[in-house]
Amino acid sequence: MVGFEGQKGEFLIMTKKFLKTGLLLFIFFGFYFISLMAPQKAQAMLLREKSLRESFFTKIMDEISLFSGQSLSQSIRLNYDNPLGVEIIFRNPSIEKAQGIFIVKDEKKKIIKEEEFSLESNIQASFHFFSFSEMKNPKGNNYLIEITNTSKIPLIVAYYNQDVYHYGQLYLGEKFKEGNLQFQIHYQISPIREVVNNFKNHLEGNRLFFLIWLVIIIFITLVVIILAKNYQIDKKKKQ
Amino acid sequence: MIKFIKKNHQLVFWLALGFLTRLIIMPFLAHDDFFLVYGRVTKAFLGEDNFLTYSQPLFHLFHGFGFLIARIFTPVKDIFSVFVEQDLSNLHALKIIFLAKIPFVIFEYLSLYLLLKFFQRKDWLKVTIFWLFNPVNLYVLYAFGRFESAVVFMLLWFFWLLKSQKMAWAALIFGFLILTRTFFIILIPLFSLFLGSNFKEKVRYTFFSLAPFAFWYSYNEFFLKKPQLATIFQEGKHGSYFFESQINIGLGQKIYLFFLAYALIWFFAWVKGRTKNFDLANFLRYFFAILVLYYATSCFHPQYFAWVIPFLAFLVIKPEYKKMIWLLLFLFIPILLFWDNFTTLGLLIPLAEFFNDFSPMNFIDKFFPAVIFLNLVRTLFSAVCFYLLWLVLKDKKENF
Repeated sequence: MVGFEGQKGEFLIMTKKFLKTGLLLFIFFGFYFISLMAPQKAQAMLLREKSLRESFFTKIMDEISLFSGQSLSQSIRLNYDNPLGVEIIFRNPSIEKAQGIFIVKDEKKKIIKEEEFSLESNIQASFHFFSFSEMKNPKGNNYLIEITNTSKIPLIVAYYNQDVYHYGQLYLGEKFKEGNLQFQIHYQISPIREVVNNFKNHLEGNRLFFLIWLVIIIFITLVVIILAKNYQIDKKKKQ
Repeated sequence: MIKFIKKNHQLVFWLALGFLTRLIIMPFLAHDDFFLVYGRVTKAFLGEDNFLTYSQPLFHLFHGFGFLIARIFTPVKDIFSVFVEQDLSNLHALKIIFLAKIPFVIFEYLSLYLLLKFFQRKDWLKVTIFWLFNPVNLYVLYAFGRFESAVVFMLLWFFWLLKSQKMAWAALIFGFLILTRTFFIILIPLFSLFLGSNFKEKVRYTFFSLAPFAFWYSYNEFFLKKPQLATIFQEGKHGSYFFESQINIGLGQKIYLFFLAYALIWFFAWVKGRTKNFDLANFLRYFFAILVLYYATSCFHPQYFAWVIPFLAFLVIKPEYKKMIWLLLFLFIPILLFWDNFTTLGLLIPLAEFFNDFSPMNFIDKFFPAVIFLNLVRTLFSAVCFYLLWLVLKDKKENF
C-alpha cells in the first residue's frame, strides 16, 4: 500500500513537472511566434508611410480665416535632409472653390518655391500636400512658408493657439501671432541612418566626453565581472 | 572601504551593476518635461526668472545641482540652446543630458542609503536589488528624466526623523517636501492625526509642516501679486485629477471617489489606527494606503508613481506581498501608453527627433482597440492597488 501511494505520489510529481515544462514551452513558443509576426507587421506599417514625417498638429484645432489678399507665414526648421514637402490642414465650407498661393522662402527671404493651389468646395478639414523643390543641405536651416488667399471667399487654415512648435513662429501678414500652423513635414530618409549619423556627429563633437564615459563604463563592467565571479564562488560555498 | 567591499561583495556587485545600467542609458533618453523644467531652471540661473515664482520651487531648486554640473563642462549658450530652445541637434545635447542627470543618481543612491537604515542587514540585498532594478525607478529617473529621487530622498529623510523621534524636524522636512511636490499637502489631515500626543503638539507640528508652503504662497500672493493657488484646481491642471473620478447622485450633486475613500480611511485610523505613543509602522501603513488609493482612483503622471517605491521596498521582503508588488510594477509599464509616443518611443528624441512621430497606440489599434486594452490594464492596476491597500490595513505586524 505504501509502495503504491509512493508510486502514485511520484506519478503526480512527474505529471506536474511535465505540465509545468509543457506550459513553459507553450509560453516560449507562443512568444516566439508572436515575435516572428510582430516585426513584419511593424515593418509593413513603416513601409506604408514611406516617408518620415515630422508632425506638428494636435487634436485641439483652431482656425484662421484668411480674407481675400491676406497672407500668413510660418517659419520652420528642416531637421533632416531630403525634404519631400509639407502638409497643411485646410477647410472649405463654401460652395465655391478656394484658391491661394503657396510660397517657400529661404533664410535670406529668397523665393525657392511658388505654387498656386485650389481647394474643392464643401471639404472638411484635411491635409493638403505641397511638394518642395530640391534644396541643398537643408538640415538645420530655417525656411518660411507663406500662404496667400487669392480667391474672394475666406481661406480657412488650421492652427493651434499655443506655441508648441519650438523652431518657428507664426505671422499674420507682418504681425506676430501666438501659436503655430498645424502641419507635417515629409522627408525621404532612412531612420536608422539618421540615428547613426546623429550619434556620429555627437561622438565627433564631444570626443573627450564620450571617451571618459566609455572608460568609466569599461572600468565598472570589469568591476562587475570580478564581483560576479566572487558571487558565484560564494553561492557554491553556501550550497 | 575595501573591508566593506570584502564583507558585502554581493551587495557591491548589485550596486555596481545598477550604476552601470544607469550610466549606459542616461545620455540617450529624455522626455519633453525634462527640458521644460531644466529650461526654467536655466532661465532662473541666468537671472531671467525667480525660483520662488515657480510652483514646487524646491523641486526646481534641486535641478540647480544638475544645471551647475552641466555648467562646469559646457558653455552656457549650449545649455541654453538645449534646455530653453530644445535644440537637440546641438552637439553638446547628449553630454548635457547626461550631466544634468548625475544628481538623479546621487539622490537615488542617497535614498537607498537612508532606506537600508530601516532594515536589518539580512534584508539589505533583497531591498537593494528591488530598489535598483524595479522598472519604475529606471524609467522615471533615467528614461522619462524626472528628478523624483530628490522627492523620495526628502520622503525617506522625513521617515528617518520620525523614527528618531525628532518630530519637530520631521514636520519641517515634511513642509519642505510639500514645496518639492505639492501633492503631499493632501496628507496633512493624516499627518495631524498621527503626530503629537496632545492638541497643542498637533497644532505645533501642523504649523511647522505648513509654514514653508505658507511662506511661499504669501510671497507670491502679497509680495509679487502672482496668485498661485487659483489655477491649481483648473480643468486639466494636476490638482483637478483628484476630482475626476466621481459618482453622480443626481441634481448635479457628485461624490468624489478619492475623498470619500480617504475620509473612510481617516475615520478608520482615528478610531482604530491610533496609539498613544507615535507608532511609525502604523503611520506608514496609512500613508501608503492613501498613496495607493490615489493611484487606484485618480489619473496620475508616470513620475508620481516613483513616490510609492520606498513603501513597496518595505513590503517586498514579505512573502505575502512580493507577487502583488511585482505585478503592480509590471502593470505600470503598459499604462505609459496612455500618453502614446510622448512617454514611450518619443523618449529617444535625444538620438533623433523623428522618434516623437511613431505612435504605439496607432500600432495596437490595428489589432485591438488600444484605448479599451489600456483601460482594461488600468482597471487591473487599480484592483491590485486596492488589494494592497486592504492587505496593508489588515496587517497588524509591528513592522510596516
